[in-house]
Amino acid sequence: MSIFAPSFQLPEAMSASAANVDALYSFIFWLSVVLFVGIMVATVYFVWVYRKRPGHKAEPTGHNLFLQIGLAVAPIPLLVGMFHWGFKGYMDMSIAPAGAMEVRVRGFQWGWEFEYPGGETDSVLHVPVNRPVKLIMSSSDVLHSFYVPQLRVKRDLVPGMFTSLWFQPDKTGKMDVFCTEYCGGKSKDQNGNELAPSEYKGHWSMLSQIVVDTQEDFDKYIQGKGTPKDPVEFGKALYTQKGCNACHSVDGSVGVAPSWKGLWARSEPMLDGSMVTVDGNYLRESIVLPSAKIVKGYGSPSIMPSYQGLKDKEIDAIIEYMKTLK
Amino acid sequence: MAALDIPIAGGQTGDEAHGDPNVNYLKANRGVMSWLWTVDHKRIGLLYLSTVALAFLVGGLFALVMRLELFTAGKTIVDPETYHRFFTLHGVVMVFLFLIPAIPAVLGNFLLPLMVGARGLAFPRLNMLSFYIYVTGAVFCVAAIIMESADTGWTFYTPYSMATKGCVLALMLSVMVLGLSSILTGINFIVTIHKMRAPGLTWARLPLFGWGMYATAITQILATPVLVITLGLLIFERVLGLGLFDPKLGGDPVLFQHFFWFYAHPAVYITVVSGMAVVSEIIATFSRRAVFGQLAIATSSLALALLGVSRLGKPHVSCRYE
Repeated sequence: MSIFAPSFQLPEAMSASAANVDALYSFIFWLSVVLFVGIMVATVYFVWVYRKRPGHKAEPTGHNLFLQIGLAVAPIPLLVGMFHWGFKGYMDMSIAPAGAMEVRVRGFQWGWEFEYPGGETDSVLHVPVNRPVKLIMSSSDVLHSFYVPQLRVKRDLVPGMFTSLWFQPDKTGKMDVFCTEYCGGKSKDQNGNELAPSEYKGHWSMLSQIVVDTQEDFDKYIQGKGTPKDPVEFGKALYTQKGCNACHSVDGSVGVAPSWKGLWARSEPMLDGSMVTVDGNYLRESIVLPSAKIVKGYGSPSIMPSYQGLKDKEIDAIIEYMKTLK
Repeated sequence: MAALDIPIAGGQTGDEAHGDPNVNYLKANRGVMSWLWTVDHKRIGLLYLSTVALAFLVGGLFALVMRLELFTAGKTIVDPETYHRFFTLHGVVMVFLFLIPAIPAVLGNFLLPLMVGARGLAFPRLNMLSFYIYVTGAVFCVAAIIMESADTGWTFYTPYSMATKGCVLALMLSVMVLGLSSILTGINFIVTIHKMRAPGLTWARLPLFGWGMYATAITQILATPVLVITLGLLIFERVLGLGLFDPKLGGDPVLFQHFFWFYAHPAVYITVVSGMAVVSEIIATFSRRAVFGQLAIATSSLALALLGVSRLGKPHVSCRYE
């Protein structure tokens, strides 16, 4: 392995965008090496040449405005270039392509749960190679952060909000998932008794793996999970169980509350005049805090009670059900 | 500049000591009380030096325990809870008791009046007050260490800082109080540089260390109040359950991060601008040259401080809405 290859310093890159991150990293790293060596050599040279010695008197140099301005301006194109490169990469890594496989990620103290589009769940994430995967992440307790060094991606999980990231693995294999937002830990049980060190749980043990399979192996893995509860069916059941049907129709008829039909991804005018695109975060807020945003034409505060008691999984299922009501 | 009739080095005024080569700020007065109640900027600088050095030692010891714990996998010397408390205390002690006051409160107090040709800082008693507020903050920190302190990390991120059982309040109060001390030092420096420069010492001639302290002081008085208010809100949140940051009550944990980094991002510049100010003077002195590009360095220090404060902590918040 060459010392000039980024993988000499970084873990193996396992996605297309990871290679771009590494290219930028290498550029900045080697630029720094060149500048550092150049500055040090120049410093040592000048210290030696202009050292104090008999027969030489110090000659004060005046100010050179042209040189000062030049030194300040010269690095600007370089900095702007690096910013452009980095920001473009960041934007590419922020916006998932259409048709990406959507996986729900739920972080909790101290572990991960992954839910596939069909409703299958697991504590490790299997993904097929060469297909974009979009993660929609939430936390059920405190801040966590989803970090996969091999993919060069990291994003916080914030309670009460969905965050997302996407990646497209370009080779099969295994990757490590870490939590990189400190989230506590324990070495005692509920009664305050000291646990054996092997029983300690915490931020450091919040680990998982991403297994990149071939498409066939991935299909086999999903089939092996058996027939799970379909999130759409689950959401449909919750629609009546939780009493949403008392006010929200699914056929487009409007009563005391907006119908769910065609609601997903629509732009809705709000009472305060703003426009809101109906997405996961908006729906989640409206379920948990109904009065936070009121649709135009309805009274404020909302007559809807808060559904703070719903589990993340139930909110996710209701949203999945709403998406099917086109 | 009107002569300030303030006592320096205890009860003796500067004029009495002036001109006597055998009397300096160390010898002008004797006894513990002459040090504890001093309003002399050099003595206060030395008091800060002793406490800041002590804080550096304590913060370093916490780091040492952490590195020892990491020597082997699993438990080496401390359990996870203790480890979490120690990295929190390491962060708080190093940032708020050492890094922030290190150069402004020690070298700034000692050198700034000499460099601008003033007898002392503009508000000597305020300077003493700021030292004792610093000591009070340090006492809260020691209390937090004794009473199983917080395990939140130095950033106190919610909701974890709401949920944890550790004694978070003492540590938050410590940081709040230390913030007040930092603000008072900042005010003192700004007034001194504006109003007490010797005749002929124009802004263009102000030494680079003075410029560095000026930029630092601006950051201290613009950004630190936000930290103090934010931690105050966090204390209210924890004690009264206000629901500002707790998503269960409709709050937003990311709001806390924005508030916190409104301070903590410029705080990085407090450290680096002070450091660069010191380096500028050392190089100029020992190479026996005027600094090349004095004006450029001075204005860039100031620009760094102002841009730092105006960045609203955005670069540090890594989460994005879907």
